[in-house]
Amino acid sequence: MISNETLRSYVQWEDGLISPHIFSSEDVWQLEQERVFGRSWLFLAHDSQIPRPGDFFSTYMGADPVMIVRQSDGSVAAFLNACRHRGMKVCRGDEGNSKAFTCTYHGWSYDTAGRLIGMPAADDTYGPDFDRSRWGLVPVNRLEHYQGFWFGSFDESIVDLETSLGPFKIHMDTFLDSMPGGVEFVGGTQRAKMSGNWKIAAEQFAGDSYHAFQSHVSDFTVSTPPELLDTRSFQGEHGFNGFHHFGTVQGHGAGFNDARSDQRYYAIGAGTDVVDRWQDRVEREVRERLGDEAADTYRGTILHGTLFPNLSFLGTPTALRVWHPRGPNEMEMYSWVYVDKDAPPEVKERMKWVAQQHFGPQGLAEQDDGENFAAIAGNLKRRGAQTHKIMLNYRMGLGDTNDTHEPATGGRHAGMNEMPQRLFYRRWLRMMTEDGTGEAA
Amino acid sequence: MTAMTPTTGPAALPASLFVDSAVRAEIEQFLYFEVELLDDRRFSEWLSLCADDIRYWMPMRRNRLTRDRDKENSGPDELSHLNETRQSLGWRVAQLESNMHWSEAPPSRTRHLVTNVRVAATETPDEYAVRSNFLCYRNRLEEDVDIWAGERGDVLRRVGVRQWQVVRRTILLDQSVVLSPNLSVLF
Repeated sequence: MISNETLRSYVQWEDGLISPHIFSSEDVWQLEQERVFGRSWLFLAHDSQIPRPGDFFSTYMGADPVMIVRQSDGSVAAFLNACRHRGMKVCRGDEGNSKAFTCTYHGWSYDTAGRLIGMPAADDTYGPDFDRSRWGLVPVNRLEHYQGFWFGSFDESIVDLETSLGPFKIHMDTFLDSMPGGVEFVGGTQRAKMSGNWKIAAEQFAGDSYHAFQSHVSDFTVSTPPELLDTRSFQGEHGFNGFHHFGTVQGHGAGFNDARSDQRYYAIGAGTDVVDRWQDRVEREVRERLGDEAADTYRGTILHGTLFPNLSFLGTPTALRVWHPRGPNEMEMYSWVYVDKDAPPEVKERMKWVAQQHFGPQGLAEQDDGENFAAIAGNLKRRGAQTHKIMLNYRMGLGDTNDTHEPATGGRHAGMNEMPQRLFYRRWLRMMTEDGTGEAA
Repeated sequence: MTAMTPTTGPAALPASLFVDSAVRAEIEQFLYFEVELLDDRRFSEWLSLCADDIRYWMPMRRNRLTRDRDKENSGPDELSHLNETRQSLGWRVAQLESNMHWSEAPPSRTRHLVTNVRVAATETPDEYAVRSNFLCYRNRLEEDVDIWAGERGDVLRRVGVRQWQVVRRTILLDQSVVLSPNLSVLF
């Protein structure tokens, strides 16, 4: 078992120093399963994925397979997707509709509420006194939803979801509640397993606008209409003061470029008139319902965020992804595209198309994230002694007077800044080293 | 032709597959030429083989329960891996040639194998429905290896002497979870 002292030496977040061990150690990964994934709110599915009774969606909570199922009364339930007899998956579909889930090994059968309802020749095998009620599927202890997004936790004592969102709630609202009808998911989940530790992807979405100008320069160059392309931004020639970064003590983070700054940056999908016109309308709606700060954020570009630990989203284009841990050096991405439910069909189609052009394993942008994540893992999986002595530099903006770490609300910082990443690892360290959930004091 | 269709006995070859053998041979050569351009990284020349009205589509595959088997492939209204126009294929080719597309710079080594070519006539005289199986091997940097297998359903159009273009391409990748860090190759 890895000691708290060792973990603290790995994550010196106050000084912006992080050890590569947290991305490559089997011991760290195993402890994360219990202490981070076992005690966090984890995204399971959106209402629009499971609209009818019996609809189910299969996913993971950390490394544990789970399924979320719409009940006949309209509520939802979620369970470990593991038979109580020998532990294999009782549901082997990725999504669908079913009245019951029958294990293909011996035929134990469970209803949509997870109750054990059938066992072949039950009386002959287990006897008439067998108490089926004790052998239902293991439930996900807590389920709550926000703006149609269902989250689950195995921690019975976890604080309620809204409290755990903290000041990040305004950013969730900005994108997921921009129109009164909210959002819906485009059908289908894109899945990709790739090399790399899940935290590398999650922290990137939390606070790393900085990488875009190097990692994604080829996307910018080839897909942006020339009249909208400001190549000076690639080298930061006119600074990054139009950027803002948010971090919270809950470990959530976001960043965006203020569209109203006099520094114009590339916007992925820019020049798509039908979406621009729709977003003009939504922006007015957001300004009225949620206020000026939300409206300015909404219209910002390169908007990205992570809800701790592993739900990441983009505002431009409209994409969401979960980074499932698959071991220290591997992760699996579940990727979706969301659209405003009230948008006209041609806007939805265009939003879907733009999101897919740039994000996903085939995306003009995200192809190169996959390459970078794999390259980091490739350097660490060899377990080189010297490579692991490096303390990685998370010091951008450290000590800046605008960089507020300690107040209970987290902070907002103008310009490029790695404050969201530092707060991400601060929360991670608290969860890894404390008995409680590491909620902000 | 229809009078010759057997009604009993072993499954018969579809009558539509009996196209002129010279046409079939030319189409096979076209398919080999096309992937040679990809493996040689002559991407702009490859792009010239795509019709202006091309639809280049790779739906997603997923595990469905038996009664939903017809929903294994994602539909037109759902997400897909690729849903390309001539314009967006142009972006992809420009990106591949940019030398700043880090998934392919330094360049990968790819080998596309195309087999099981089935050529069927369509109602349009110069267009043929062509199905083929593919295996694409990619090796890059030191020891990164990806293998993609699948089927392509194409509509190919004769546009001149020894000149053909791809009008439709539906690519069925035989993976429900993409097992590579990206899909930065063309199929």
